[in-house]
Amino acid sequence: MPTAPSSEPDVTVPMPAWLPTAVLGSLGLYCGFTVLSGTLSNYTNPEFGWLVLVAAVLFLILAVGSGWAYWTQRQPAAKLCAAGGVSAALPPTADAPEHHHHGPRWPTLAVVAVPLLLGLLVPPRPLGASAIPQSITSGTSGAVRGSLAGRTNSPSVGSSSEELTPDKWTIWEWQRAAQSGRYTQAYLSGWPVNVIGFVARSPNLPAHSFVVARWVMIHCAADARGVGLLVQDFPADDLATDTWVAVHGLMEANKVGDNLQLTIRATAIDPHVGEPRNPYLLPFNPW
Amino acid sequence: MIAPSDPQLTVPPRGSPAARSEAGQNGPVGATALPAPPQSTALPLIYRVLLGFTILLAVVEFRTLAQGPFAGPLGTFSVLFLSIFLEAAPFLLLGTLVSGVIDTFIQPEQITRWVPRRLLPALLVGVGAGFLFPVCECGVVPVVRRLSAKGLPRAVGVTFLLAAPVMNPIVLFSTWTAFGFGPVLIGRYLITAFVALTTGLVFRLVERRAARTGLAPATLVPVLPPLPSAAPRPALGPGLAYALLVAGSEFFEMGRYLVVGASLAAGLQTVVSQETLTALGQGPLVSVLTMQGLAFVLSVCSTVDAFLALAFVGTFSTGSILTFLTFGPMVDIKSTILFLGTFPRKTVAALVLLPLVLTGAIGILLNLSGLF
Repeated sequence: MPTAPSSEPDVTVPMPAWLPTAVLGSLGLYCGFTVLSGTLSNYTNPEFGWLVLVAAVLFLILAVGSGWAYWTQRQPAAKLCAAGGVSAALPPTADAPEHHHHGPRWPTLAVVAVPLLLGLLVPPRPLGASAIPQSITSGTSGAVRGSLAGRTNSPSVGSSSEELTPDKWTIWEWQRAAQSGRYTQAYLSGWPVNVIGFVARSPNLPAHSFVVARWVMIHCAADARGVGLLVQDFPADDLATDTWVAVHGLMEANKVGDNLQLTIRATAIDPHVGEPRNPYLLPFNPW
Repeated sequence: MIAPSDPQLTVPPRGSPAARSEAGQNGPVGATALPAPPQSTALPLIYRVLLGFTILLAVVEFRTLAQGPFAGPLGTFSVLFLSIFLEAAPFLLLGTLVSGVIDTFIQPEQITRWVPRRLLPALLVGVGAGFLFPVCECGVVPVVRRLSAKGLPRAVGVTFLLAAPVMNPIVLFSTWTAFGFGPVLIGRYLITAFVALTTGLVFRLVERRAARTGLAPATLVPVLPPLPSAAPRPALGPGLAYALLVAGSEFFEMGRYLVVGASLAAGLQTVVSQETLTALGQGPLVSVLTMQGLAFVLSVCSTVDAFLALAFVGTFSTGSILTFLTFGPMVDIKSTILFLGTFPRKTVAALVLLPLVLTGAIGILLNLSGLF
């Protein structure tokens, strides 16, 4: 669209032609870095790491294309379009009356560079206790539903846990068992518990209690759901929120408020277990 | 070609002087109307060094703050944002590459030749074309944008836009893996085809009415001017290089909307948790609305949303899950922002509201029918 001539001097800072190339290349390197360094597991299911690698390669290919255009346009104008034989096909615009290629403007470049900036500026780490919903940190997520239901033949609760016994269940599998309505209170009580998670708290928890929590992911952090189990009567008040712990003990079904609730009576807590290689639980193998 | 970052991407109504001018019918826009070359404001070296040092300090300081007082919300936002971006980027990049190839190698008359003249077969081509161009809701936008510029009928473009995120082999495989061959798989494809076809028909009807009255409503005006059909097809090597250049520009154009959409989705999820949304209601009506809201906010890629839907089995009815699996791939936060960067607002409103109403109505009917 024609722009009316202005008497005001244009003080727009011209964008260096190499900058879009640099942004594309940096995005490619960042994507590649997240996969190779393992930090990708903070954001997506590692099963999909190959997709991010594809993105890295495509970013780098686009950067090469953009760099090639930059190199070509430093030479006699329109060589690029003429080489492509496509210049005649391209309609003129106000910015490009002869249709020479134009890169992005500053605002566009700044917006597209946001992932890069966040990736560099915010230390990579998984979702933690601060994002866990109140329903989990209040310790009521292990409420047992349908406690009159009979015990099923198999204690398995998930597609990936057919071979597991409850002493190997994760927090997610315990919570599913509690909420599925397939198990009696008596059946769920008394099993040894060995789970790994991070410490989450809320102000209304009883003394000497905390919630051992975890995020369950299907594909990426955007679809992750928090799960947690209440750990009762263990002197662990000095454990900081988000500390990764291994909790060993026995499962109990206690009445908490109006609900029958699965809680862990801990016999030992290891606060030095550290963050697992994959901080999220991945109950489904998508492929 | 219009520089993709130009703010004038929305073409004024067809037939207007501005539109004729931009389409090249009146020749190139007058050079006298162009803005004066910008003044150089290059900084002396010492200032550049100081600026670089300041930025470095700011980065270090920001990382410290991000580990301290801002660790909670900022950390959550950052994880959610980057997860959505990393998930969507490969598909958007593939879409922009396809867009570059279309721009360089496909001639408008080829589009005319490939698309049937009769309405229903043409729309059916739009529904099934995703199996030839396997793209999700991010990648399909640049492809439709470019195909529209090459003369693809708008109704077919709209049908393809809405159907392709589901009607492709990757999504077929993931849905089959998650749910097996059954009512969810069959229902997902039937409902998607129905909604995409209906929306395409509505666009076609509006277009015909506009043609009768001689007025082209703004909702139907193509975003890019049609390209001259007499353009020669470029040689393969230089053509591919040019396609890469177009793809790069297209990525900047579409990528900014992806970033904005991912920011909105991540921001909303930081404030409103998934549990809060799913706890809203379980009735035949409310559960459908809940699942639509969830699909819109989560903005999960259509290639993997079946696995997420699997987690809702037992909590939500099959009708509500089908609503999630059909509405989400057509409309979510990031795709809506991508639409806004590509189409006029009225078109975007139609592209959001029609699938919202149609998938919602079908979901409620399925819930009430007691079929599942």
